[in-house]
Amino acid sequence: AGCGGGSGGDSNAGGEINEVTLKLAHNAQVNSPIDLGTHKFAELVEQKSSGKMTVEIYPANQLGGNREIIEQTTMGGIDIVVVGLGVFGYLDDRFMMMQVPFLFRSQEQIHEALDGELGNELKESMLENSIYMLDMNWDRLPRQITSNKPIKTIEDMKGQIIRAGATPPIEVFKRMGAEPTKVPLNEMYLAVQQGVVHGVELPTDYIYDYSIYEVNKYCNMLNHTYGTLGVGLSAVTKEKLSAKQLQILEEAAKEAGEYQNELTWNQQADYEEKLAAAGMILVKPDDITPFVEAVKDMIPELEQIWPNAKGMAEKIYAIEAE
Amino acid sequence: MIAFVLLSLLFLLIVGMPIGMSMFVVAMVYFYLEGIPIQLVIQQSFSGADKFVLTAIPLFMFAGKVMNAGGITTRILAFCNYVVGRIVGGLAQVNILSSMIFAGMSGCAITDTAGLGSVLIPAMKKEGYSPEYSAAVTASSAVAGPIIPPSVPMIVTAAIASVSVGKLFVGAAIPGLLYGLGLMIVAYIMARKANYPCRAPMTVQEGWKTFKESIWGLLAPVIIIGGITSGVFTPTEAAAIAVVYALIVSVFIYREVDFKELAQMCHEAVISTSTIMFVVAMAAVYSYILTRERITEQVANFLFGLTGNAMVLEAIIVLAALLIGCFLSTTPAIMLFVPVVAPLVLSLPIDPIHFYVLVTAAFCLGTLTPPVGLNLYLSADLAQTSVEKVFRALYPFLLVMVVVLGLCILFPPLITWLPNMMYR
Amino acid sequence: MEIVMKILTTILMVLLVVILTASVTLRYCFNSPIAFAEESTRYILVWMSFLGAGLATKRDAHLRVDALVTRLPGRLQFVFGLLNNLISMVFLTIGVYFGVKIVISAHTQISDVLRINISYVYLAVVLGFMLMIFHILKNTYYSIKKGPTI
Ligand code: NA
Ligand code: NA
Repeated sequence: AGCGGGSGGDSNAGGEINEVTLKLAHNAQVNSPIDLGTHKFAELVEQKSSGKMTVEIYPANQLGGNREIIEQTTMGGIDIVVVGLGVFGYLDDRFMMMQVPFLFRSQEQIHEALDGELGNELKESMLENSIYMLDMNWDRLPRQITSNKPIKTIEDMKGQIIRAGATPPIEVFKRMGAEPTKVPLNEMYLAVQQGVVHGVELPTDYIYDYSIYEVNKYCNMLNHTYGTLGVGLSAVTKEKLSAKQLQILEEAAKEAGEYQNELTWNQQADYEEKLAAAGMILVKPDDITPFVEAVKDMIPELEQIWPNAKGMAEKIYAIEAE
Repeated sequence: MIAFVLLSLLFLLIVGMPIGMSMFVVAMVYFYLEGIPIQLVIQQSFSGADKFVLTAIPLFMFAGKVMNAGGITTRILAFCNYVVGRIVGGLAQVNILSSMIFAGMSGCAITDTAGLGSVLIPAMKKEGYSPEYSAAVTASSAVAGPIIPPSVPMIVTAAIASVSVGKLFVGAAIPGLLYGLGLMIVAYIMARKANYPCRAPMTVQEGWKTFKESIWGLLAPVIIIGGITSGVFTPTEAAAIAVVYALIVSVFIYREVDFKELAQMCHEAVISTSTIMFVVAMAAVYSYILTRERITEQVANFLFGLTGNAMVLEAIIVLAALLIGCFLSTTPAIMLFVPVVAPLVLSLPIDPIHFYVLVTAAFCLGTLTPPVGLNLYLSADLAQTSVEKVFRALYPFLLVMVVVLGLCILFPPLITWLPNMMYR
Repeated sequence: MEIVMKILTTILMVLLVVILTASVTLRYCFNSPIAFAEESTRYILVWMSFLGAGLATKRDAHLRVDALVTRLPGRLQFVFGLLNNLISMVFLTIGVYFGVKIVISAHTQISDVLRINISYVYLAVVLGFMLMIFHILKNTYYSIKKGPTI
């Protein structure tokens, strides 16, 4: 059982491919598009390296929670990590800004931002934190809010105790009059059932997988957060790879990402149908412009919380959404 | 490497090194040999302790100490003694019944042992029950906690396997009640054999007096269960409420403790907590190793290669889960095992709800079995007796669970009937 | 030392009770939960666990399987005890070294809600290990002075 890296660390510049086994960790469930995407990645890497490079996959946070697998990657304990961009926020504020609700208005807008100047900036910042971003364009389903009353306007948010998993939605929803709070995923179902919280903030696949439809009546399709995943390579591992090997990983990450995205978007309709069939009412808002405007007004305050992210929102707003 | 990881731990345990320390040493050596950054040992042990649900442990420990010192426990016991004390082994029955009530408000076996054990084990010993019998009754009945809903392990399983939490909860209700019933029968037979004493007859007036005196204490579970079922607080938060309530009653109503004593109790509760938490933390490192070595995966693949018969396969897997439970505590075992078998379950003629209730219940029993059985260790610690003696006293109670699991395999409706009826 | 530890553990326990009770009260009576309750209580538990592990070492209260050892002759038990302490100390010392390393490397990480430096939480592990080493040394000294019980 070889650990990350393997032998032959002196061949950094060369084109040869050493035998190497890479450990890949992600936080999604087995057989989810992300998991299947990582398997595709492993398959492509093996193919492109004629079987010399092997990728072992550890799904479903088996090697630790989000913060821990990121940290292990910075130290070289995990070679490759696949997590939502927001998770990198533990290392750099800028990734927090990427998760601010109602900032991005479409998946295309994120891709455009990531393929441009902003993407380079994020990539550099991660390299300073010992993670080399192989790809940042693996799509996630947009996030929604569940509740026991329809939420169509900011007014409807008032007083709603919403379980949120990260700081950006907590900061934004708080300023919209809601009462966001942190509850661990494992306790979430009980918390909703017992009325400790009124609803949760998650993508539809999680809402379905965690059976929230049994305890909440409405799923408010605000698409408040669009997001992607980053495929990060440990800088410690990168040192041990040749240029050719790095190229293989980058190509595979990109191709597997495209495959993953196809699966993800095919599933979107599936999950919405499943939720509806399970008795959930999917609420479409009349107009989300007030939400978007409200967040625009919050940006200066948010930039005070995440000083590194100063100026990012401006660049994002500048990108013309389709 | 697999042999090294398993055998070296066994060796260190046998020569008497503390359990947490043994895991720590094995982990350090393993990480060094594998060339994994050794900081990860620190990181994993840290994250093993960094769990919200576990905050209930120190709180229930503290609440238990306050209830003991503050006179609540003695008053409740006086009352219970009046009600069931005439039965042989009456306190054991009280222990099991209260565990099942407790199970309806908490989702974690260790919390139940900490909460009830710190009150009931000293009481049972005082009444002349052997320490190991007292510990065994407490530990085995606490396992009803994560089986009878609500249940943290079931939620973890449901999330990983992508099945309905509600169905798993409801599915586990009948097996959980059967388990409790079985424990009561076994406890009664054992108490008859050991000829445990029963109290002298009492008049109704005396009984009424014990009730009046214990009313504040008896209200505690009512407030906690009521608070949880009505959604005022979560099971974890309930631990803090239990502390506050116990403090109010002990300091302001019964006035049997002062602040100086309370500080000492805090200190004691922290030490008892950390003996558990140190093992929890290091168990996280150990299970990290098992994951990296893909040990459970190899076991699962091997098992699924054995037979295509669903019932036989379920029986084998439950046995395997019991075995894995010896080395891991419940949640890590689920986190390791379920993602691995999930794809295989879909491809076989097995009802997923039936399967996951069985496996999760089997893993819950793992907290009673050495070398990694936190519930067992905690109850032995509370009873101030040796782990081996408690484990030996546990045999008949473990058998109850095996029988219940066996019945559920032979008669699947025991699990599937309720969820199929309630969720269509 | 003793009194400092007593004050520290009491403060941690009081914080745990106060934060969770306040969170329940504020949420139930004023519909306004404390967002940092979950995170802060987790970190308090980590501190409590590792500081407490040091205190448990002092009392030799750590959980162990002593089925075989207690049946050995006193002299052998004594030797095993010394060996256990020696091995524990060596590995805990290595643990302190790598713990310090992770404390330093974690200084760039910020916690989710409270936005405190993760280093401060990892520090608990290092201090806990140091306390354990200190108490093992002390225990070993006294047990050598006393000698084996035959
Ligand atoms: Na329960
Ligand atoms: Na066990």
